[in-house]
Amino acid sequence: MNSRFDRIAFGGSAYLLFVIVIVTALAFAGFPTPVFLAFLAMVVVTGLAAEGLSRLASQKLIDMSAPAEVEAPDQVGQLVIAFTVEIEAEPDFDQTSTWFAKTAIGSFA
Amino acid sequence: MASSSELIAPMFGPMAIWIFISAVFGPFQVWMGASKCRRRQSPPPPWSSCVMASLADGNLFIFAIGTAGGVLAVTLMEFFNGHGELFHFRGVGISLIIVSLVIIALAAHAWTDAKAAANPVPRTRHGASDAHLLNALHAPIALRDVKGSIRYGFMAFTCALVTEGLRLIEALGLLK
Repeated sequence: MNSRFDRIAFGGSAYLLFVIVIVTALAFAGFPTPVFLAFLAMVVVTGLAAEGLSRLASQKLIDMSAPAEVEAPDQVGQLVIAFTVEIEAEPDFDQTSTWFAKTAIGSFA
Repeated sequence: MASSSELIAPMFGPMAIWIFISAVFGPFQVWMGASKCRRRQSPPPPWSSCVMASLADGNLFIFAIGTAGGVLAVTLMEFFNGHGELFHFRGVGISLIIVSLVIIALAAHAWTDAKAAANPVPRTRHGASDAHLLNALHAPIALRDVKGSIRYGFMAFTCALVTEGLRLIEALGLLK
């Protein structure tokens, strides 16, 4: 979601526009006042819960993903060690040869 | 004139079947998840981690599409039948149709886009790109898109509350 449209469509302003549309429709529907107030309270409470939970969940997910970023240098260090230590090179097709030697299809061929 | 309560009465049977299936398969799914943890010899994650994993997977986009689709279906049904509160209060009904269509379109766009943003597709051969797309659909969404998924989930939830609230206040006789 890189474009300007996406930033608007998925931000808090989109939710505000949604609330305005729904409340306007309810206001001109001709409901009795207590019914309209009940709907209004429900929409407002749900909106506040949405905004609060979205901020809470976003912060929680950032906290949960933080340790992976902290551990990254250690993984890089291990990779550097793995690439610098000399290892015995495996001959080409070694595992394929072993597989043919150990299986029935190898003896048949 | 048939009321919303009479229109929804035939749905009680399928709803009872759905509750029964959920009551059987819900605990079964939990048991399967716990058995996977036992096999891997890892402690089962707390429920809050399961919720956060579900959010990071972008499931609220799918919830928004499904719920807005339900609202759209109920509203269209009442409009085509010429009965019910959403037909009677046309301004609310038409607003719900428009809003639910917008939610479905934007949530569907955002779900795939959020998956792709977290897993950019490398420019390689065509087959490799297809394989990467399949993997990306199983990957978590980008963290910045979690807020959007929660907002769209709550928008669809609010539409459902308005729809069901109208049925409830009609059943309670508050609209007379």
